[in-house]
Amino acid sequence: MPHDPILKLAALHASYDATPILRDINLQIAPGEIVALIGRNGVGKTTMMRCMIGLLPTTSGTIEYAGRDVTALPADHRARLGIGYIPQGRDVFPRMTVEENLQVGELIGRSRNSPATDLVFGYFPILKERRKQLAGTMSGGEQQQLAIGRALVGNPDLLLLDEPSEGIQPSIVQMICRVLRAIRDKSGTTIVFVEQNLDTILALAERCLVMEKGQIITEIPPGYVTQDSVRRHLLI
Amino acid sequence: MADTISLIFNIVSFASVMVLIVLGLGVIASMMGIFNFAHGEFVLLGAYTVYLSATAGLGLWFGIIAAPIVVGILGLIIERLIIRRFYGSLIIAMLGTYAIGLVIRETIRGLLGGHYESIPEPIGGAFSIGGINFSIWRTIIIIATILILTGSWWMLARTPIGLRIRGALENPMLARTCGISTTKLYALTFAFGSALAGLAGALIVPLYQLSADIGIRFLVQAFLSVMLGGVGTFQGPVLGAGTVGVMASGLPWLVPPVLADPLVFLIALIIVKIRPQGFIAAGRS
Repeated sequence: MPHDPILKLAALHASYDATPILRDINLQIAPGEIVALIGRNGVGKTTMMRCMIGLLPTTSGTIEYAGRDVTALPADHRARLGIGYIPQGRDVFPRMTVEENLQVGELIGRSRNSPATDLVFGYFPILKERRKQLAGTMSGGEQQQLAIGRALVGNPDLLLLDEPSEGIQPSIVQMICRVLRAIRDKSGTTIVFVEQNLDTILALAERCLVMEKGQIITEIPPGYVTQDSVRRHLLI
Repeated sequence: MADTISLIFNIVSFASVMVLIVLGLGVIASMMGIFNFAHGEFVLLGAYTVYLSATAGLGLWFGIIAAPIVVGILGLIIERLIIRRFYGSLIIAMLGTYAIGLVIRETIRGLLGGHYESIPEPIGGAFSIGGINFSIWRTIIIIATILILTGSWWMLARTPIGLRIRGALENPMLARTCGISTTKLYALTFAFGSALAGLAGALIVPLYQLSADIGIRFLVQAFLSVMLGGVGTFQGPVLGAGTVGVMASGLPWLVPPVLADPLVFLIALIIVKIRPQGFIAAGRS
């Protein structure tokens, strides 16, 4: 890797209550990479995301972000350091308006070019149209755009997305993929995402990490992310 | 006519007292999922601050202004030292706050020597409109309640701190991933709720005599209000407190006072039975 990794997990173990979920995870992500975490249901992909943002404590091992050991830092501190997280199920604050949701994202106070909301409205015009609407009343696709927009106004250096395509119509998914790529190309934002949908993986990922039973069993290196290689790992 | 207006005034002024007391309790319950059984004692501490200020020669007004600050700071200390260990275990939190309340109540009972102390109204007397007399202090309490409600609502709806509070209220986990430190926010909320209780105690103590039990006499009604209004919104507990306040002060005029108290509970429990989620349903998502 040409650069120091922006994210580095070493010998990471994590468990829910007493049940071990992640076992000896080692991975490095370079700045500006787009990496997919793939594998079947229940292999620990979401758990890994929750560990990375800090919602789930690790049992042992270390997480380094931008050269700094963040293993002991709570999620809100990691977010302020520049890790944006979009949880599964397109979580928004349902009783706030679109605008207020974006304001929450801005509270992180990392926005370089203000107002950052204009940039997000540029990527997702529907949010500008709906900015006075309560987020809870919008469709799934709109909520996902808002969830991504909320993370983007915080100007993250690393974006973690948990199944961005789940339950969203394909045309919106394609649009979201285009936007995410554009953001990486423009700002150098590193993107790590969990995904099961083949088309989304192919449209976005440059590298895939394949998980099974709480471990990373193999990776699909850049240039080899093809329909065949991905499908093989999604099915086994 | 004159009697009706005085009756309405009395009902409104008691409902204001109820809202003042319940607001802090509701804010803490909504935000942190903790029913603070020491809330009544925070009210007592506010009242006691006014008494101390008066006996020290600093005057009543100094005490009224100092009460929310003193009780707020004490709330912050108690949250940092004790309450934060109870998050996520509701029953232990109830027992723990009950114990804190007990310590405060009995300490002050000792300090007061079991006596009842009368605190005069800082502005006594009454004014009259159209031949009907209105107590000035009760009017001030009504106005103070309206100002506090408006101020709290404005803070929640229009300020960055309000945005953080609403975020943590709607989805604490998501709020954390948005960089909001819920730990700090909970400490702040607890201090704010305590300060409101302290202010309530300071404002109402001239209407009642100061005794160690001044807070606890409102506690059950306050809990009923929060149950009735529902947890999770700003409006819920306020509406609940208004309802309980109106019932508790209005019913004695309709039925014998002995029946009024149990009737308040009966009506409230029937409403809660029919609408278990409270008037305003909006729990954590």
